[in-house]
Amino acid sequence: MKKTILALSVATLLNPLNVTADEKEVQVQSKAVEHMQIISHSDKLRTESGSATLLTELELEKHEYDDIHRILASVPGVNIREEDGFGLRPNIGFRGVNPERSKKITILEDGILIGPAPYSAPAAYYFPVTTRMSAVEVFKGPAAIKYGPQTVAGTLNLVTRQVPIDSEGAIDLSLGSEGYAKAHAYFGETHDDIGVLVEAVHLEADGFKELDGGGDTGFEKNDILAKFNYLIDGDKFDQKFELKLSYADELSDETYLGLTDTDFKENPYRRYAASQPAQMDTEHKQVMFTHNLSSDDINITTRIYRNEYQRAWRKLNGLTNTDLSISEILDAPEEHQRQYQVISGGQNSIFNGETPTHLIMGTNDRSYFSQGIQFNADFGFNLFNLEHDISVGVRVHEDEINRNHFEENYEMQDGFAKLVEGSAKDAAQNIESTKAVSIYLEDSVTINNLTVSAGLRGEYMDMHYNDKVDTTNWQDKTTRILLPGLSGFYKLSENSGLLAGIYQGFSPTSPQQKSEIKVEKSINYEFGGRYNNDDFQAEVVSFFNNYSNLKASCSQSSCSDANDLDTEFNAGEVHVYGLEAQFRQSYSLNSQIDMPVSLVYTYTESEFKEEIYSEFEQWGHVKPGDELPYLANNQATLNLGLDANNWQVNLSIKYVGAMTEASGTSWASDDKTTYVNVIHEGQSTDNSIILDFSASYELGDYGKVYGKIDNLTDEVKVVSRIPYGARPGKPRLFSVGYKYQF
Amino acid sequence: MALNFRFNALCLTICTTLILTACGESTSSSSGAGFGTKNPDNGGTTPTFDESKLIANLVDQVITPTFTAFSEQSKNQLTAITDYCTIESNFTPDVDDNAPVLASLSTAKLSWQNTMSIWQQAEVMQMGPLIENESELRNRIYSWPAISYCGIDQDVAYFEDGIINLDSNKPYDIKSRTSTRRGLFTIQRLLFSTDYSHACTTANDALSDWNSRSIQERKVARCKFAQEVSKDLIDNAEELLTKWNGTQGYANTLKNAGEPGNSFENTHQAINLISDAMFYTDSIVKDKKLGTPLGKFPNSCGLESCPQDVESLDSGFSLANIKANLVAFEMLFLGNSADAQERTGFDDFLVEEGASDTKDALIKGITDAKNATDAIESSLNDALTSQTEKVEHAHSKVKDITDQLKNDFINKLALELPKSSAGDND
Repeated sequence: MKKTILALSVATLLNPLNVTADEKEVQVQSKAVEHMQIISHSDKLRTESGSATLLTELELEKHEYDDIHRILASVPGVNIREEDGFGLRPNIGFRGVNPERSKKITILEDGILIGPAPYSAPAAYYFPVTTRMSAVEVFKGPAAIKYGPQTVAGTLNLVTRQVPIDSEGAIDLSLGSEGYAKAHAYFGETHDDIGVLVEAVHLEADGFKELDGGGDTGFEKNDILAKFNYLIDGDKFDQKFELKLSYADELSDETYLGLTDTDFKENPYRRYAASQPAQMDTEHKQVMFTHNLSSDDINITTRIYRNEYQRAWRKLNGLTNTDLSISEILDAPEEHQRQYQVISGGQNSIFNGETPTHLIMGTNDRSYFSQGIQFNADFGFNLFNLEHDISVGVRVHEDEINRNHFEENYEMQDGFAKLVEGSAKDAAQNIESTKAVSIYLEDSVTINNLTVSAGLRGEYMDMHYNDKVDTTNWQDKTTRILLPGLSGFYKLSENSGLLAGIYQGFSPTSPQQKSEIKVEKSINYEFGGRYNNDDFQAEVVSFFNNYSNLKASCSQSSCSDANDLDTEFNAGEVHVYGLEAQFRQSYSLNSQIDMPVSLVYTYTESEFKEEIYSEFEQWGHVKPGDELPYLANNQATLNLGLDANNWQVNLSIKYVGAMTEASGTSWASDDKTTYVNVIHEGQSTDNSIILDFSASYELGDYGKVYGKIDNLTDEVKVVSRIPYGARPGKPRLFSVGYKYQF
Repeated sequence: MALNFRFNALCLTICTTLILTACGESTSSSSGAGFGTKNPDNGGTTPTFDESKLIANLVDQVITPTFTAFSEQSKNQLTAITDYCTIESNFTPDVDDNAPVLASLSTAKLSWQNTMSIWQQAEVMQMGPLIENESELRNRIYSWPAISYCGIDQDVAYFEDGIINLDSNKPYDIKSRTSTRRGLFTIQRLLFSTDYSHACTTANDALSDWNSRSIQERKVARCKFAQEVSKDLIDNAEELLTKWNGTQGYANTLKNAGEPGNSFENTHQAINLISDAMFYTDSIVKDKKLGTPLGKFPNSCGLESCPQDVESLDSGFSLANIKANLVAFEMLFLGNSADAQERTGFDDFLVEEGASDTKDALIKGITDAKNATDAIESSLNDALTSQTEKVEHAHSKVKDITDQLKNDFINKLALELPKSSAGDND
């Protein structure tokens, strides 16, 4: 296939003849890189028939972002709901899918599933540290069916640093406001066909929120990566064996608790006293073994992987002696004064002989594993006088989520939340697991200027759910599905072409959902074009996603009623359509200074096609034509830069339009037995324009210094009212850093 | 030709793809009996304790049935006493067979015991109409610890005479008599006491010839008055039910606590009222019924074990009273009888408040106290002489309950101590 590689390898691939021994080594290495990264990186016109965006290491370095949300601002068709300001637990959707915990997209690291349990519990509570990534790739459209299980929207692939051919290393230190600190270093080399890479990242911040009663609201993250590889330069085939080990942990004082709108206006960075005990504690381990065999005609990669993830997040779930959700309380604090006062620390839990109002802190303690073996091969042959380029993949995968949730009561006393000893009680105690076999096959046929690709993905999922307390509460479920896709690219000229595609998207239900619950399916169409002429690249793609049944599921961060946790909801037919455009141009101001400019724009419309009375509180009573929540109609990012030999400045201007926070209205059933309170009915997030500025200066042999200001104008906007109240984005934060590469 | 073939192949590919688009998915499953019967996630849920539900359950399932049963039983008691009194009135000593008299008296006593057992449960449910006007209605039903043997004996004579103390200007009307001359304690004395002398230090006009009258006459006079007191008791039980039930009844006031116009501003106040009633276990059961006869408080014997100070000396039913009190306390605490279907009670409230240890301690306390009273093999007054240690043990076990009640129970549920327990007697 025409999947190729990073800048490192581009030159070699473009000139495959007459290579020297050293070059040959580079070539082997480059081919090995190829299977980690999917999108070609070349100055030539890309002929993939599908919307795909690559952010290279150079681009990632421009703003030194640690937050995937900010990184993806430069990718069209991405809809994001911000939450904590640091992007610790991203909410990413593509082409209008619900961004909640990025559960509707497939997230890969080096081509393998990296979510904690991608089939059984796709919510991506683990997200790799983007600081150490050397590329970020986004696929939408027909290409997405190669990378299930979530195929309704697309795939995000994070590419880690490859073992360098020569001795190479770097150190990157940064300090900033709000206690921000970064220490990032790596070193690697290849010697006698044996390569080693070690990379470590430490990130921390005190947090920009002001906790009532004092205390940090930030985080500490550590990430260590080690790779060992062995290269065999054979006569017919080159081979690479690689062992990748990684460890990551995070301790963050994060909560779901936001603010009332009134308190937000007064101090958007306030955090109520009830969130004092909140803490997320996670640990992730990965081991992956990769074998790659490649020649000019064939590329075969086999990966064996296992990811383990543990997390325990203690956060406010609710209050005792009330049916009110925290969202309801914060939405109408005057009406629910007693509860609001306890949350905000204004009143004690035990007060004036009234009903005690204790804080219920839930610790959702979960352990996950995800393991499997994945085989991918690309090869070409001639059949019926046509050149076929075949891409085939098989993955045998198993994952599991083991929930050991418990709740404790905390007493609010004089503005401090104190544990009520002995109040712990079990909450969810269950296991969901999936054994899945997935196969895809894609054949690309090129006829003159037309390349047509027909692909088929098959998923077979054997799912199991059991409650660990009630042993009669279990389910075994088997689901099979075939997902076809068809796409084409027509080369208009050496510099331009048209692309079109149609494929079926799919999102599996979780093991604990009844088999009667419909899976989410959509037929997605796209049509667009690309232009590439030296300094100017453009891609404009329109899309139309026709969901036969759009689904949403409740997690604690999206539903206020804990009884609905993990319940899935149907919306019936929904259309999402729009336009994605990306333009990139570099102007030479003079012989010393270039000015790269890029513009990314996304227009998205969504429409429910059926009248529904949903119990999903982001929908409620929806009429045809209503919009999906958390989906801005217009988003744009303009990146401006000045590049000189020894300095560089960059300005990113990101506009996100207002997003409705609820599609429909509250409703009650005729017999009054059901009442759905759409808490955020009529509410929307604010329009926002965020400016991020960065600059760097090369010190020659002594490395470089850089500085950046995120949110230059200190824009304060409500980015979301879920979970549990209004929350701001990141305020203006300064940081300076020093980077030395050798 | 070749190009044609190539396009045919391409068409074939496209058609195959489109056909495959029609491929659906299939899902099948098998599941356990408990699957889908409740929230599949079994948590992360926040079970919310409903105070109204607690009140409604205690009112509807515990308190109202007790008051109703008492009313019904008071009618049975009148029947039994009337039967006995009829036989007693027609009995001629040394002529007639004594057995029917004894049998009917035994039935009447049993009926009183049954009535008393229910009332001793109601004792732990004193609220609303039972505590208004300084517990006037409650005292009419059962005046203990306010008692007057002399007063009872006087009223036996007054009732027999139809006038008070032989004053023709003062016709006798039990409704106007003080509570110590009415109610269950009075009936107990009339049925159980075998001391037929009057208990007054000085006999007034009405009693001037009492001690000189025949035993049979005195028995008949007592049973006739017992009938009258029983009738009065029925009226009082009915009054309680009237004030308790109905749209305007106190039961509804409790159940609608917190609603507009309700005398309780919130449900928690209503729960506090029920909790106050449960403190009967502390001030009365522990201190009055056990502590005082044990000499822990000044009693008729000074500060020592004093059998004559037990609650039901005449009937020897003191221990049964305490057992009934504990049963009622248990019902209020659990929301149901120990062997009945589990319903909402204070135990659930404690769990909600994260005080499972307090709940467990109270359940253990109740069980231990019941076992301790069961372990006393004789009447309480006899046991105070012969099995003092068992009575002491029972007292300590009841104290275990009340210690929890006064501390963790109150604190965890954010309730207030009743005034009667504000001064700690321990």
